[in-house]
Amino acid sequence: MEFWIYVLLFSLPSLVEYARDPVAGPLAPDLMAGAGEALRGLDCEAISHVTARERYPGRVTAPPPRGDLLDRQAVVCRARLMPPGVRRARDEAILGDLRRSSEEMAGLVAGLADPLRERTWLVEVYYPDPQVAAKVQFATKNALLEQGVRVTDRAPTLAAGDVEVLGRIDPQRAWPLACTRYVATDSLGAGDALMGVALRDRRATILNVGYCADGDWRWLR
Amino acid sequence: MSHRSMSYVMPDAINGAIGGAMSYVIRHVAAVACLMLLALPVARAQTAEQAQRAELEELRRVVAGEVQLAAYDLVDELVYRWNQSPPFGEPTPVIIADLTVPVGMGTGLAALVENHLAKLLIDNPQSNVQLSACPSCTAMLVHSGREGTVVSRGLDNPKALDKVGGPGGRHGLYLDLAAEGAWLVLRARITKLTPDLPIVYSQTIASPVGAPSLLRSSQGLKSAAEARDEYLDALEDRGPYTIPVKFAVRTYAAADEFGFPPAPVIWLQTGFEAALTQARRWKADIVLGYAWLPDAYQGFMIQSRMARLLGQTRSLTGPDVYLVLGAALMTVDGVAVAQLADLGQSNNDGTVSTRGTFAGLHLGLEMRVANRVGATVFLENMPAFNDSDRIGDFVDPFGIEFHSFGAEVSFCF
Amino acid sequence: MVRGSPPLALILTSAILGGCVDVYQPMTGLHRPIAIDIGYTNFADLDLRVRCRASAAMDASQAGELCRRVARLFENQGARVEVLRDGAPPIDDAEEAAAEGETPKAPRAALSIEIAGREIRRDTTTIIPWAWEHTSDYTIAQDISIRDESGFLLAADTFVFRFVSRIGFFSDAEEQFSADFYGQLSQLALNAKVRRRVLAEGQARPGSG
Repeated sequence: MEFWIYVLLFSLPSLVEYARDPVAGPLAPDLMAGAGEALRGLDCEAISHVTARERYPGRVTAPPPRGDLLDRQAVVCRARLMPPGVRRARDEAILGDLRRSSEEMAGLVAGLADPLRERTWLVEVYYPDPQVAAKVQFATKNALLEQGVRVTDRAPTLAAGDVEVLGRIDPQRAWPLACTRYVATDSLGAGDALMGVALRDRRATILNVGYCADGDWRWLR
Repeated sequence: MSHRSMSYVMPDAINGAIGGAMSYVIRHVAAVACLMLLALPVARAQTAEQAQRAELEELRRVVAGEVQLAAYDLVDELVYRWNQSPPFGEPTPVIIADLTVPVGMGTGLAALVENHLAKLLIDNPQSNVQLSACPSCTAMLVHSGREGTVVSRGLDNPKALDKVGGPGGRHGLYLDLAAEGAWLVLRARITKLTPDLPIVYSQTIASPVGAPSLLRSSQGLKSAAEARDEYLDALEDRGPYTIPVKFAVRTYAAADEFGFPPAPVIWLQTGFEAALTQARRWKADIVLGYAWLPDAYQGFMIQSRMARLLGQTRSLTGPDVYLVLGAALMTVDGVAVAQLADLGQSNNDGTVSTRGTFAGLHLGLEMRVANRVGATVFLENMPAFNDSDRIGDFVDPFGIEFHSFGAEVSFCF
Repeated sequence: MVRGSPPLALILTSAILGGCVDVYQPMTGLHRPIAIDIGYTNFADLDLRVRCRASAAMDASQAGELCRRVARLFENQGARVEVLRDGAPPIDDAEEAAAEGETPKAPRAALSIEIAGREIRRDTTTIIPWAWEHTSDYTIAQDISIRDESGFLLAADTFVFRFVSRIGFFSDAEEQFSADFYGQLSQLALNAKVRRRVLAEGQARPGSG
C-alpha cells in the first residue's frame, strides 16, 4: 500500500500537468463534442521546451529544478483572425497567404533582366471577387516597391469593343491579345510594362503571374 | 415565398366555403394544408438560413471588435514611422484616397480607423503629412476625350480631375487592412495625383493575432519598443523600491481589572519597501516610527512586514488587497500610556517610570491603489501583555490574545 | 488555448463509460481552406505517378497502403495513376515509350507526387515491458512534392498533424484526417497542374505575343 502511495505522490505533479493539456488531458472540455472543431481555427507549431522558454519567457514554465518526470514539448498556436466560414474557402486560401505570395510574385518581376526591370510597372489583377482582387493588387504593388521596382497606380485601359472580345475568349489567348491591344492603344507606353496576376482556374488556390512589355506576353509562373 | 403562396390560396378557400359547396371547401382546405406542410421545410430552411446569416454577422462584429485595437496599433506605428522618417521633405497635403478593411468585415471599421488616422495626423504635424479634403477626387467623373468616354473616380483620372479644378499635383493616401491567417496587415501607399500616377511611398506593417495592444497616446507618439517599456513600467510601477510614509494609530483594549485602556498612540512612520517579485505579489518593508502627543506620550518604534497579494495579478486600475504579517518593537513613555510601562522601573529622580518597551506581532489586510496610496487594518498581539491585568484583548482566537487594533494610511513615493 | 473545465460528473461518466479514443489536431497546412471538390473529375487529362517513401513515421507496408489509397483518390478524379515502388528511379516518358516501341501519343500532363513522412515526436507508455507499448501522442510531418516530367518542382508543402489518445466516447479522428489529407493533396496536385499548364504556355510562345 505504502508503495502505491509513494508512486501516487511522485507522479502527482506530472498527472496534474497532463490533466491540463488542452488536447489530451482528461480535463479538456470537449469530451462529447469532439475536440476537432475548436482546433481547426489554430495554426500550430511544435517546438522544444527550451526554445519555447526562450521565445515566450514568463509564459512557459521552467522545468522543476530536481528533474522532470515528463518529456515536455511546447505547442505554440495562433488563432486565425477570420474564423472558418466567414470568407469563401478560395478567398481565404488566397488572402491567408498573401504576404508571402505577393513577395514571391514581385520577386519574379524584380528578378527580370535590367531593361525590363527598370520600366514603370502597372499591375492588373484578374480574380472573380473584386474585393479580393483589390487586396491582391495592393499587396503586389507594395511588394514590388519594397523590391525597388518603379510602380504606378495607372490602370491600363481598353476600348469597349476590345473588352467585349477579350471577355469571350479563354484566358490562354486573352492575356496575349490584351497585351497587344494595350500597346496598340498607347495605354502601355515604351517605358511601361504590365504585371498581370490571374487566377487561371477557379478550383486553384494559387495565382499565376505574367508580364506584358512591347506587345509581348509571357507567363512567369 | 411560403407566406406569399399561402395568402394567394386562402381567399379561394374562403370564397368556396361561402358558396356552400362543401366538397370544394374540403378540397381547398386540404390543398392549403398540403401547401402549408410542403412550405414547412422551406420555412424551416429559411429560418435556419436567417439564423446562420445572423450568426455570421455576429461573428463578423466580434472579429471587427477584436481587430479594432490591433488596427489602431498598426496605424499608430505607421504615423510613428512617418514622424521618424517623413515621406515628404516639407508639410504636404494628402487626400485619403481609399481605406479598405479585411474582406468579410463591414465598413464601420474603416470609418473608425479613418478617424483615428485623422486624429493622429493632426496631433503629429512633424510627420509632414497634412490631411486635405477633395470632394471631386472621390466623386465619379465622366470624361470624354481622344480615347473615348471614361467614367471613373476623380483620383483615378487626374486629367479629368484637373479640368474640374482638382487637387493639382497633390497626393493620395491609400490604406488597406488585411486579415492574413493569424496576422493583421496594414499596407499604405502614397500616389502623386499627376497623369502618370507614380507611387512615391509604400509601407507594409504586420501584427500577429493575440499581441497585446500598446494603446499609444496620439500625442508624443512613441515607438512600439518605448510604448512596451512604458507598459512594463506601469506593471512594475517604476521599479521595485518605494519609500512609504505612514500614519498609524494603535488602540489598546482595556483590562477588566483596570477599567480604562491606554490612550491610542498615533505613529508617523517611514522607511523602505521592496517588491520581492516582479509582479509585486510579495513585498516587504521596514520602517521607523515616532509618536508624540504633548503632555501625553512620546515613543519610538521599528517595524518590519511581509505582505502577500490576495489574488494572482495586480490590477492597474483598481485596488489590490494584501495579507500582512509583521513585527514591531516599540518604546513609549507618558502618563497617557502608563498601563504599557515596564513594571518596577524608576526614573532618576525616584518617581515611578512610565516608559514601556515591548514587542508586537500583527496580522492584517492592506488595500493598495496603484502602488501609490494604501490603507491597512491589523490586530496585534503583544506577548509581554499576555494574561496581563493592565491590558485586555479585543479577540483571542485559538488562545492568541490580540491586545491592540490598529489602522494606518500610507503614501508611497 | 485557454478553456474552462467540464463538470466533474462528465469526467467521471467519461471515465466509466468511455474508452481510449484518438483526437486529431491539424497543426500546419492540413486545415487550410481548399477550393477543389474531390467529387469531380478534376484530373481527366493527367498521368500521375505516386511514390510514398518509408521512414520512421511510416514503414514499408504503411507507405504501400498510403500510396494505394492516394492512387484511388486520383483515379476517382479521372487521373491515370501509377504507383512507384519506393527506391525506384524516376522514369523518363520518352525513354519508356521508346523501350516499348510505341510512337509518342498526344501529350498528356504527367506529374509525379512524392510523399515522405517525418516523425516529429512520439510519446509511448510501456504497459508490459517488451510486450505492450501504447503510443499516446504523436506528431508527424508529411512532406509532399509534385514535379513535372522534367523533374521541375511545381508544388511542395508540408502537412503537420498530431494524434493524441485520450478518454472519450467516440472518435472521428481518422475520417477528419483523411478528409483533410486527401483534400489538401488534391488541391496541391491541381495547383501543380495549373502551374504546369501556364509554364508550358510560356515556353510554347517564347518571345511572342
